[in-house]
Amino acid sequence: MAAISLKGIAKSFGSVEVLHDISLDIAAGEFLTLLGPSGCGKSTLLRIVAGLERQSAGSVDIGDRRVDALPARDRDIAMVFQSYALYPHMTVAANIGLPLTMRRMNLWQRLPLLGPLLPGVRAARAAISRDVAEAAGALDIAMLLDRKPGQLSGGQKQRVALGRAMVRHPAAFLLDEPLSNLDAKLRVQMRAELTELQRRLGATMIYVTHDQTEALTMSDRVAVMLSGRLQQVAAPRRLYDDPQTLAVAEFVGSPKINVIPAAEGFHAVRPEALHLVTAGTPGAIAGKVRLVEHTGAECLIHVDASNLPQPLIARIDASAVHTPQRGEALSLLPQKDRVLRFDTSGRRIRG
Amino acid sequence: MAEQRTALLLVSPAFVSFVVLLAGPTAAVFALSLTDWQLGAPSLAFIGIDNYRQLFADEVFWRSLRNTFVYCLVSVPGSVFLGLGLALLIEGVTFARGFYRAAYFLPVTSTLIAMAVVWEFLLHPSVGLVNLTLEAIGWRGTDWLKNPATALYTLAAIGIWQSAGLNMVLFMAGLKAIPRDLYEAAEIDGAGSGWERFRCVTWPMLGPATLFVTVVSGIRSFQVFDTVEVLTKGGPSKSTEVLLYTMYTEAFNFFRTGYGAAITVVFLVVVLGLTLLQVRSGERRTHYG
Repeated sequence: MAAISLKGIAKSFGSVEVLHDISLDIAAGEFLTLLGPSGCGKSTLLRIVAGLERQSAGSVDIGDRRVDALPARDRDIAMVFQSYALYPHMTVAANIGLPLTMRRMNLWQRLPLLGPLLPGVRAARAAISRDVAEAAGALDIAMLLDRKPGQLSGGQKQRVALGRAMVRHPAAFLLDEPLSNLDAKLRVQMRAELTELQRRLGATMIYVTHDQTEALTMSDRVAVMLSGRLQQVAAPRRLYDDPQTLAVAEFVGSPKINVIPAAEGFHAVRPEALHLVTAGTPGAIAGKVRLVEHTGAECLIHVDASNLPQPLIARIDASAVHTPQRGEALSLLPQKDRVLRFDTSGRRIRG
Repeated sequence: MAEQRTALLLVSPAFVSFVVLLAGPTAAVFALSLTDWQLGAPSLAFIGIDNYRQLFADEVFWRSLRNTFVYCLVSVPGSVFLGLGLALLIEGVTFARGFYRAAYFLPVTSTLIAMAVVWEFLLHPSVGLVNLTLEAIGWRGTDWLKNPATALYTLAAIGIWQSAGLNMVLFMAGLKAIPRDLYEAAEIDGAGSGWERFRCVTWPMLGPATLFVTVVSGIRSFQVFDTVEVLTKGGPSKSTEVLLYTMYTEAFNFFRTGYGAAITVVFLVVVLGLTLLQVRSGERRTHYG
């Protein structure tokens, strides 16, 4: 397992600059997520680390090697693609084993008819089968080894893609939206399994996603990217509670944080930090209930306040004594110690 | 009931055109092949399998069947692999792609009859470009279309020239459909060299395209007729006598329609058999996505 260090990475396609001066250090064994909306450059950054794309400026170190001049295959990384990118004509075993076959055997030894006659080939093949079986065992797909990808479900294909990444014990894993083609239920399950796998392997992983739930639940640290710039890199809890910019505060958290214009710029309050209070409480915002959403354990109340452009959203316990109804007039009080203050340019004001 | 009537009504155009355009003529050809009818004759008689008996006893028929197979065995692999090579090369260049594509596709769009004149000139024994080029590098050419040893292969080469462009376009469509991710996965897995990319990704992913191209080329080259008619008339000494040319001379030169129909039936059976064989053996090795 290796640390990865990015220094001043920039990337332009023609005259369009998609990445601006990105520096980021990822510790060995860390699970780091690149989170951002589509088009923010997170996949491009991952592909630069992989060596599939060349940066316009800056450098990439993997372990203690500078890899800028190395092609993808020599960077000792493995990648898992959103589409899984399995070879459809090969069995699962051959798919998982391919990175080993390509590295341990030369062109002649890999030949279909002549190869097996050459010295050492039988032993090499046996060793590869052993390693493939081990990876497949770890992913619980040992019974699928003889199948072709076309006969597998989405979740199984995902595991095969992971197996192909694992089998080589690479310095780092790069995952590009690996769960977004799975259905919702499987996604939740794979999320947990992937985190577990990462802890067990002690692997360095860079995980790209636009899904903040994935980012917040799986990562050691999350790097938020917006329009080609790194906004903030922090542990999930910290990112949610202590965003550095209004943009990060707005991107992370669902439902979105409430933004209230204030004299110094903006005040932002998470929905769970808005409390129902009796009318006339000092500092409370009066309004009318526009919509009530029950999500099971909790209840989201959308409130139109007279002097605010957008409705406020308050999150209350569904078992609360009184659940407001649509059209009802009520007052909301932001919890004082959880009001985040930002200046007019969206930067956080502290203290 | 009303629903059933509607269904029949909706199916009827397809069914009628199938009967009129496909099933009917095929049945008619088969029926004719059992008669002694001559084109324009006022009467005909049922003679059972006499036409076939005569056909299978005829040396010219076997010669022409064998020639047709040889023609296919040369021109199908030739045009398939040339088409594939062209498609890969054109995909590989970054400039003037449209020009190359159009240039190689030109033979497909041109009339073969007209092009045959050009070929005849190119292959002229003394002033033709082919022999002049060969002489320049110290080889002796031959009269390609008049030499029984080379005539059939020369026609096959013209067939390759003519259909490689179509195969190229079909392969280019196939290449476009290969997901980029697979090449990138191969790159990371260490299969990034040109040959390995081809072996691990391009060739297997082109499976459906290759199957289609091979079947279509097979059928097309089994139907070879126009170059034979224009350039060699089946000669010299029947060395380029192919199935459709035999059928044409029997049915339209000698007006032995019944006999010609028998050849057509054999032709249909062979083409059907070959196509089934190709599809069967190809499907097993073809992976759709």
